[in-house]
Amino acid sequence: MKEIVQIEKLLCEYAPLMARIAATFEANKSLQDELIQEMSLAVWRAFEGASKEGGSSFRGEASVKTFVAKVAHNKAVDHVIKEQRRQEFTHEGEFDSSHTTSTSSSRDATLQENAMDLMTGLRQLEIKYRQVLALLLEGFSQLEIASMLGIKESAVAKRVSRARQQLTQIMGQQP
Amino acid sequence: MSEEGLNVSKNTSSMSELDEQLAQWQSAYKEATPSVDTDSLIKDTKSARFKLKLKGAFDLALGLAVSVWCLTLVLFEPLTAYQFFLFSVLTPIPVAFGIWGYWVRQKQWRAQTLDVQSMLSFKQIQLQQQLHYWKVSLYGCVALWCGLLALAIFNVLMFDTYTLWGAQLLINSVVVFVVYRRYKKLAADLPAALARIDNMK
Repeated sequence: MKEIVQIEKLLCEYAPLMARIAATFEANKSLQDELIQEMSLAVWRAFEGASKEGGSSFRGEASVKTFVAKVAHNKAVDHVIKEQRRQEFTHEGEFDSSHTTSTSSSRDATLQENAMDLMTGLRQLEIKYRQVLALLLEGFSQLEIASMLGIKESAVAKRVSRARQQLTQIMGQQP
Repeated sequence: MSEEGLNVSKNTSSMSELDEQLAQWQSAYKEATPSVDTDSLIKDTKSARFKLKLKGAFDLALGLAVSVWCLTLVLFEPLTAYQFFLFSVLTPIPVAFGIWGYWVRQKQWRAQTLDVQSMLSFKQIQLQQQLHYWKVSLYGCVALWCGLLALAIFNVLMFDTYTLWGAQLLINSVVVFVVYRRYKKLAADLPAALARIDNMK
């Protein structure tokens, strides 16, 4: 019971993180919601498994946030493989600004526009570039990203550089 | 100012522009957080988890029930030698299948906690294994169909039972054809599917 409460707290805390990852990989709002739920379930199962193994799944993880982000990214990639709709959501998907958390009227309109451009731009990047940039924007260090993706830190640096170039180019082309 | 000094100054300015851009993007990225009803999310996740557990338990219980039924027949019913052999062979299969299904599901869940590269490699292996299973199924179906054909020929020649054996052959031909089509489709799609995953690495 205590474990369930802990996992619930964890899901509450990291729901925005999972939602951002889902939005990076899926533009369609209803599919995004499905993906967030799949991520939550995967996180739940992963934590259950980790506690059964005495927390061995966490060994080597920098933080719970890293662990959640890794599971969520895996689920997102899995979703992309399954749905095979990457082409659809890079071209057809429209960012729905009504679903953002920024409801306060004091929010800067330009910032909203930037957010929209950024998400649309991110979704146009190749998955490998999208992943590193999304994790970097989430505030993870290159070392943490390397551990989550299972690649070398130097490879992360290269991808980040390419991803930034491509995103700058894409956002420059957007109206 | 020396040329070296100018270069250092240019690099510093370019670095600070990059940092500023990153900071802007980070802020925009956080701003773009889709709204999540966490209460509803937890409720739905709990429900999905319960359904998964229920499905797993049902599969296992069903397998166990069939195995127990077969075992009961073997132990307590008067059977011919042929029936005894058949049910003895059948007994462990359903429960073994249930355990195997449980093991596969656990493996899939564990794959979600791997790093992304390992998870993608796992997906590729899974796709190759899927094709292998369909290939084995196809061979199995063809072998069964050949056995059925031999029986049909024997029965038709000996007892003139055209309709019965003809119908059985026809139904099984449809099964073989469906399995063959599925295998061919998966085999044709596999290189592209593997390449797509490779591109994600």
